Amino acid sequence: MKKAKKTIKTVVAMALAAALLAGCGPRGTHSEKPASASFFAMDTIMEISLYGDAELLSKAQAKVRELESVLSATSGEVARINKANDHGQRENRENVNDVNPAELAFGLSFDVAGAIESALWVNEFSGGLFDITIYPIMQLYGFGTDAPKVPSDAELGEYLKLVGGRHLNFNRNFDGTGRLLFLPGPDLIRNTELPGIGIDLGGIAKGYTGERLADMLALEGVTSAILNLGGNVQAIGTKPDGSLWRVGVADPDDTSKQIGYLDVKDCAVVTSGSYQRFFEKDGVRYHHILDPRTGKPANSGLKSVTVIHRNGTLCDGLSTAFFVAGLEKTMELYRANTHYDELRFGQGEEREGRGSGTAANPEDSGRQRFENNLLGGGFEIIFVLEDGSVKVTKGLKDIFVPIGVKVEVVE
Amino acid sequence: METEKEKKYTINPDHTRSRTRRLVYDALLAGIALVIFWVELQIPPLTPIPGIKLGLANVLSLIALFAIGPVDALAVLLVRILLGGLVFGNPSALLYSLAGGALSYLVSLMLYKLLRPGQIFICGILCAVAHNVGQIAVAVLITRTPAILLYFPLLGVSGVVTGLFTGLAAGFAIKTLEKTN
Amino acid sequence: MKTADKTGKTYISTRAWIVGIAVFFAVCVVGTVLLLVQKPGTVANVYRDNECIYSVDLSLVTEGFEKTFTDENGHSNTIRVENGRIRMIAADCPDKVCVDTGWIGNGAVPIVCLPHHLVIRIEKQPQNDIDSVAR
Repeated sequence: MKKAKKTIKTVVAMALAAALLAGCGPRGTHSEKPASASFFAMDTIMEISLYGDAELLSKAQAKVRELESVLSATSGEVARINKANDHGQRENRENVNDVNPAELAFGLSFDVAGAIESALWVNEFSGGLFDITIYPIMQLYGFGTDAPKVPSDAELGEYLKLVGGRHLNFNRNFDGTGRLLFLPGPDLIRNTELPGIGIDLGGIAKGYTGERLADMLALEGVTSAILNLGGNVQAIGTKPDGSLWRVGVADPDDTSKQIGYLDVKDCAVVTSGSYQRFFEKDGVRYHHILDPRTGKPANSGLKSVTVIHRNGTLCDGLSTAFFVAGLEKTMELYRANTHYDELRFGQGEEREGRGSGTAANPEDSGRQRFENNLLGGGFEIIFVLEDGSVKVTKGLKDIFVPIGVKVEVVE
Repeated sequence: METEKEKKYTINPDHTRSRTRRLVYDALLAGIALVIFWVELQIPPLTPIPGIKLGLANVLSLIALFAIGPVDALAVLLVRILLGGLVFGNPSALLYSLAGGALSYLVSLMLYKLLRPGQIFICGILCAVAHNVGQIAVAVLITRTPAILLYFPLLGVSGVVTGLFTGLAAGFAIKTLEKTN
Repeated sequence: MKTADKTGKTYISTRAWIVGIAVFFAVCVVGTVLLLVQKPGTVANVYRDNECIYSVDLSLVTEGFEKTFTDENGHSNTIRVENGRIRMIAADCPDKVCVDTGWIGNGAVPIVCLPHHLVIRIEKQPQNDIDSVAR
């Protein structure tokens, strides 16, 4: 008689087992796990995950170290240039004509030249809101040092004389190396109170590193990798099964959480925010993104800006520039540089009846529009405003998936 | 040959020997089951949890089983589920009910030979639990979300409680039927 | 446990049945209590066919909003999200069980829309398989 009870148990167990088995429908199961490495470089944590030869990880790590050593403003090539220029410019001269121009001119390695080239492009694009000549003012604040300080307005006014694209003359050679000439002008040379002009590639170094790593991995035949260089995400290809990389966007108030995510391939997603690096003095928070016009931490009404762009270097620079610019100015730039209409060849044909005739799913066309804009060199932006509201550019409609926040599309 | 035990809780063997009578009994039970099913639908659910309800209509299936026979119980159950599903319900609830009903019928069939007259409430309990197991299995299979299994204990508790109620109700009903015979 | 009745047939005593059922009941009660007692988390994950299609942290919601999910057959479910709770407000499924479930805010009960294979659960972590976070 106990048999019957046993039978019941068996039936129940079988039903549950069947249910479990049927329920284990896989999503994005990969036959292989990615090879991953995380390490500390450029003052931040870098994570590399790639599908392919695990040997490449150490190669990638070596590449990061190499770039760190040349791009850092405190050591390596850029630091050397800054120091030498300081010396060349500051030495007390009887006559401006005594200055030897050779002391203010520097040959640049491939990577420094590349980073500066992109930085100057962003500088021009943003109307000077991203400026690597901010270096002396960064030094004045002492971000990242043990003793940060808040300079006075008078001090900033003086130091601002050192900031501006006009102080640099840059050429890139055919072999990719470059030449940088500092142009202090007679006033600055005579002013012995001020340090020399200098460059800080901090706003673009991580982006450039991501870009170069992506190039390197692509040359090695990697078609599926994702890099997170201190918060700068660089997606290479898609996942091995062809699905897109899912990139979250951190909540500026609590970076362990996300305000949302989007699925991407072959592009960079970079966030600039006042929460990333700052110090507090007398209850006031001073963050590291300085407005080159005032020398003060940018106060544009934004908590963070996230930019999606195919080029990791430009993406990094643009996110910084947009953070300084604020919502209105950035949207002007966005509108002037987004060309949905010109890029909708395929759909245009379809409308005229020459297409395949398959009705486009609205979700697909949103994805299409997004991809087309990126392919055309455009960018998309996610703004987190001071009041916590989240706004996205129209290409991100249906692409950016918010988590726990309401998202508004700005036109 | 009917054993003494079976006779004990049969409405009246003489009554069900006639096919027409049997049919009338079955139809009567199915009809009552349908009405109870409908009435229960009108009562706002005690809990927001889908799948937790009294299942009063099952009392009629139990009566049919122990008072008449397995075939009749199946008939009452199917008529109630199919007609109930088609008239008041909807296709997916039908699937729920069918899965739950099938499993609980199998269980009741096993218990039919096993239980003595006073033990009918046990069948009620096990049937209710089986019904919930069937429902949860359907939910897991259709939504392919094994995590739903986490809620099994909840439905197990509710199955025992509601099953005890329906089982006792069925037991009393059968006892009363015996007396009236 | 087994007893013979007058006719000599053996059967399982009522007491044995009750003990068995009581054990099962106790296990279920413990399971339920564990289910209810555990700190359920604040993230609502929406699954279709066990694939998380949407996550929202209910504790972060300041202003309620609605969102509609449409499957490949054009069937839709609309959720309403408010601070600390979520519910299905509309669905073109035939049974509306999901809508009738009402608000959920803790881990005790999921919202299930069987016809559209949709499940909403309250969990600790968003189940959206984020590969990397820009911060």
